[in-house]
Amino acid sequence: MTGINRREFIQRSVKAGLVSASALGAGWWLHDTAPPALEPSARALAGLPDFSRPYDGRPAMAIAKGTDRETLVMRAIGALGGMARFVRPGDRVVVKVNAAFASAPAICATSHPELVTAVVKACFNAGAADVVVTDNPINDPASCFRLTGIGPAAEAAGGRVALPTADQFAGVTLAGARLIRDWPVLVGPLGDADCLIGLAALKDHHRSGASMTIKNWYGLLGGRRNVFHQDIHTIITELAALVRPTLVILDAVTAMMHNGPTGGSVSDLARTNTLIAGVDPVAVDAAGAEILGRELSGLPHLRQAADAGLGTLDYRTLNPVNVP
Amino acid sequence: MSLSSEKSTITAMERRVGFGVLLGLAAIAFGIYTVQFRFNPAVTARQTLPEAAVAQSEFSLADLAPNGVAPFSPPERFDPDTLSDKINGKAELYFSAGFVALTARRFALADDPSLWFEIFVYDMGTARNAFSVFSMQRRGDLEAGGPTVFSYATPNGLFLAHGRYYLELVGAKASDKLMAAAGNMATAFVARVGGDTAEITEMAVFPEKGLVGDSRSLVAADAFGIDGFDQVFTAQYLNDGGGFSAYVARRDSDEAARVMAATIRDFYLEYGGTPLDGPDGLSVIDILDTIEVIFHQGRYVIGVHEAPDKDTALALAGQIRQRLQEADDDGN
Amino acid sequence: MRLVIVRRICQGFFLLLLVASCFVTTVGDGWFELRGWPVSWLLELDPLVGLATVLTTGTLYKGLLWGAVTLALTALLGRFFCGWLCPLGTLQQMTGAWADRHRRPKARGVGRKNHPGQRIKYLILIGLLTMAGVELIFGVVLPGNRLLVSGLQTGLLDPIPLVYRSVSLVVIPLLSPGGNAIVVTGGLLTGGVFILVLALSALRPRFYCRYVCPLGALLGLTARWSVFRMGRRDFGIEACTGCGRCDHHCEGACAPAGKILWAECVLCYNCREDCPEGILGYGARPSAAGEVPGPDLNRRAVITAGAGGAILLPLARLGDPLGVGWRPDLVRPPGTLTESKFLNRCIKCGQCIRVCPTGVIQPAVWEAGVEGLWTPRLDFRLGSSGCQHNCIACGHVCPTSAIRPLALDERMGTATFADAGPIRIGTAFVDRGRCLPWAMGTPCIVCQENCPVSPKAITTRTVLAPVAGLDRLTVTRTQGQAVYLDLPQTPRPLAGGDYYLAGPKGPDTALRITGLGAGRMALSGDPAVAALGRGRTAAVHVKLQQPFVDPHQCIGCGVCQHECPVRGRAAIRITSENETRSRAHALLAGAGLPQKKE
Repeated sequence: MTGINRREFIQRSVKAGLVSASALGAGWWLHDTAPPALEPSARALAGLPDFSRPYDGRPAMAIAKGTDRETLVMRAIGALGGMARFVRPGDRVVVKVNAAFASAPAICATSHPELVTAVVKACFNAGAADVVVTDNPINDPASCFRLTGIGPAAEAAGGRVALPTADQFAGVTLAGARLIRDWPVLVGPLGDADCLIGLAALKDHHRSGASMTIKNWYGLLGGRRNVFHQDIHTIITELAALVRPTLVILDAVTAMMHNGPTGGSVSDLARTNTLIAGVDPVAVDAAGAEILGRELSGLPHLRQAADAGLGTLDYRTLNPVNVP
Repeated sequence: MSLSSEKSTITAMERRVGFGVLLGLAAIAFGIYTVQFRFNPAVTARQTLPEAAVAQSEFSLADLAPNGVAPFSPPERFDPDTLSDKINGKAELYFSAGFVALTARRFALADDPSLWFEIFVYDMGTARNAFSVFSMQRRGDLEAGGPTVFSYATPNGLFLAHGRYYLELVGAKASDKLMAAAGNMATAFVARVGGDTAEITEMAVFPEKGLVGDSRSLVAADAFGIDGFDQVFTAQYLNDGGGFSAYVARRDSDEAARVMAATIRDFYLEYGGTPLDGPDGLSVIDILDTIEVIFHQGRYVIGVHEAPDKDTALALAGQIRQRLQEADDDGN
Repeated sequence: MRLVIVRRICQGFFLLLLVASCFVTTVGDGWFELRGWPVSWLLELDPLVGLATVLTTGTLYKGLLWGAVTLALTALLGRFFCGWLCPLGTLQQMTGAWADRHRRPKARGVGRKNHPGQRIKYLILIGLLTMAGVELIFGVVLPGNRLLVSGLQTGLLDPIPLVYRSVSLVVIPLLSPGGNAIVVTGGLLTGGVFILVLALSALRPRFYCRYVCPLGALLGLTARWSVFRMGRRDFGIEACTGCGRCDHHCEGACAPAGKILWAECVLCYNCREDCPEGILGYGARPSAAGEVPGPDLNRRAVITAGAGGAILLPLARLGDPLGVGWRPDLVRPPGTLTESKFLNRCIKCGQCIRVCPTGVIQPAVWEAGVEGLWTPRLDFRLGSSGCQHNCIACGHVCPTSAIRPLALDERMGTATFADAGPIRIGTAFVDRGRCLPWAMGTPCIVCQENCPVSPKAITTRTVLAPVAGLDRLTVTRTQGQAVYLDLPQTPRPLAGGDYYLAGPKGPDTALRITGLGAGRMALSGDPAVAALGRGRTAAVHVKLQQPFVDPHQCIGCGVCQHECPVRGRAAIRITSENETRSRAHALLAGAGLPQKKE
């Protein structure tokens, strides 16, 4: 062999050896004897942040009577100590509205735009840095926010609408829950929020009896959530445990008495001329149930939530402030 | 190739490479032969049966042999096609009762190989079938004895039914030592298979309340001194008033059950019993200050024997009737 | 012994091993059954299986490490796998040699000359590997981008899976004895490809190896710097007379006497045998005539092939077949991974189909979409029963764990798996429009009887329904337990035990019909109980047990569908709703199912 040949041979052999060794090495490095799981489970978040404020002796609940939503909500919140009690200067606020259906405000199946405007404004007046209005509606999100008037109302008041795009959801597991296990929840807007305000309309609900402030959290769920209708009371109870809001507001100025939750006709509505604000969603819903004329026995989820220590069923023990 | 092949000569290196390759093939073949003994889980899983009780095919009989007993013949397995090879004349009896498989093997005492027994494990598919072949072959006047309710012993044999299995352990000689070893093996089998004999309806219908533990048993023939009243399941009960018993027996037809119930009733009346009023279809008889209740339901004859009072007797009878209905077993 | 003889022995050995591997892949512990035979070893030796699954999954599963051994040896020795092991190569070589018998040597040489088309196989390889790896490599930059979906399609052309499925799904079933015939779908396609491969090799020896085979391409690229290589050994002297005989039996069409195309050489060693001068051979030095170490690929062709491979899957998945567009009729074997993960692993080898003891697993032709060609699906009409719920065979022969090897307890949801419950492959749905008791007033509970799970997933509710045409009869007289009435001719077995006669008081007091005569029927009780008397109307009722499915119990085994007497399109059918492998297909609350993509 000539020198050149020998050098070529050595160079080639080194390359061959490298290919050979890297095949074996990579094989060994990537080798995995464990068979894969049937379905890889994404890492789920453990619950949501707790947005509730510690009890400070101020009233827990206010019931305002009247017809004008804007006045009512200001009076009710005022009775609780004003929005400053809930929203500190610089806070980022998330308002979870009910924008479930692409229906007109007059149908009262969704949060009323006037109320949305009032609440968003109140937040900004209290010094909020950012107010995000969000929901995961049943119909197409963009048209829901537009047709309900919620979107324009929120933006007119300076708030932002966060549409529930796929990247806003993450799997969440609620400790001890049977249904909320690695389930997609609309956590995107909540991630860096300081306050969570729930804005619900008082409605009849065919499956659960009534849709009030706790049922309103259903709109934070993603995925094929309608399977939960097989076990509606459990899911509402679990939602009460999952979501700990700063403030909830139940709009009962016009209540949907039957054909809920969609309604569709003004004949389904009744003027009940009430608005309830409070920090205990169970208590607020218990008061709402009374307005709707529902027995608590027909709303097992409220009893279950109260039994789980998530709120007070006998709302009168909270001495609600009655605002005339 | 044939044209040119004469011209080519084989170099030593080529010869070595060729030899090496063949050696490699031999090594591969040997490797394949070696790994094939490690059975694929697909194969081993297939051998277990989805029953709560362990299937006999899952373990080797040799594992059950007590100390000092060793197998001295290979295990033999027979299916319905081959059973006649093993037990020529009697195969029909097993076929008619739903025979599935037979495993048989001989075991001998280690210190005296002339003392050996053969164990026959008949897999009859269901407990009812196993019990059926057990009772059909039961030798008349022998005392019960053995690890299960359905078992009896002869001087050189032990016969029992457990779960879906019917077992025979037949000794070469009538030796106490040999039969003790066989008995241990039978006990080990029952423990290994697990499960309960209550798979037979008659055993399951006795209510637990007041039942004396381990008192359920089978009377093979002439129960309570009544001619022809055989294959009767009995259970003892205790209450404040003392002990009494209940019995259930299955007949071949509804009609036979009716006739048997009538025979029993007449038997008690003939021996001085007084008929009392009872619910429809139930005969209530007061005899020597104890109460007998006799009735039939479907193919079953049911009775309460020597009860202290009428209420107790009727209550127990009613419970048994109800459980029989729940068992949804009309005896067919 | 001459090396070509050794090579033939070696080829014969591996061909036999292949056939035996396919043949014994049936559940059982006999010598000609599965036992512990390493039936997937040849698939594991195939480095394309290993490489492609590494690209799709990031890991090299279990026995696929053997592929690294093949690759490592190829890097040192050249394409020994193609010439000495590959059963498909052997079969083609045999066909080619047979076809060459009547050709003159010159004509043989023509068929064994290199052709520029031989580079196609490298482009096929690049396309398939890009398809497999695009998400792994670029997914980091653009996660979740639908242009960057990847999937494993090497199995379409990979010769080892091809020959496995040809033998398992065509050859063995074709030769299976009539009394025990194996039913397999897709024979024309599966067998047609196999026959085409062999036929083309009669036209041009090892056609598939030279032009198509992606595995050959992979090994050809790997062998580039191999230590040992074929070539002319007449260094310093020009001993070659240019007789051209070395081409006459050349398997790889690699031009051994000229500048040898080393990536094409399959080490058949025929040239060494044929060379009258004895100057061709295997050694460490490159050929005296020089060599072309790798394929001639220009950048444009490579990019085109890669782009072609990368775009096919995004196109195939535009309709979101793994998400909202899933196919509920596609029921996969128990243990199959969730569909996207499954498609990242299945190499279409047919092992699961071959091993299935009931033959219920069938190769998908179009039922699983274009991507799912030759993947396993359950066909409850074919096969001798449904999916046996104590059987775990398919997962334990799968070389890539596209079907997870389940433990029996995991399959059945027993012991440590009691919390998770049994593996469900779907759910049975009763088609009330086709079901005999529901739609036709005819008693039948075959599905309920055959349901193998405990407690049964099929329950029945009993109803007494009037029989059309026999529901307005008039009683002429009664006598004892007999009723005389104007009974028309009917093929229904009225005295069979399922039929009752109801009087004016309705079905609550109906009496079972126990006997039948001309214009007369015997009842199980006194007709007066049912208010049946002279002049009264009577209606024959049939006792029906109407089946219901409990989705909490049903595992989708399909025994009910298989046994349903409505044979064409069964009245109870399985769809993949509620299958364990996909939470998106869950039917019941609490099964924890995020939607999104799988």
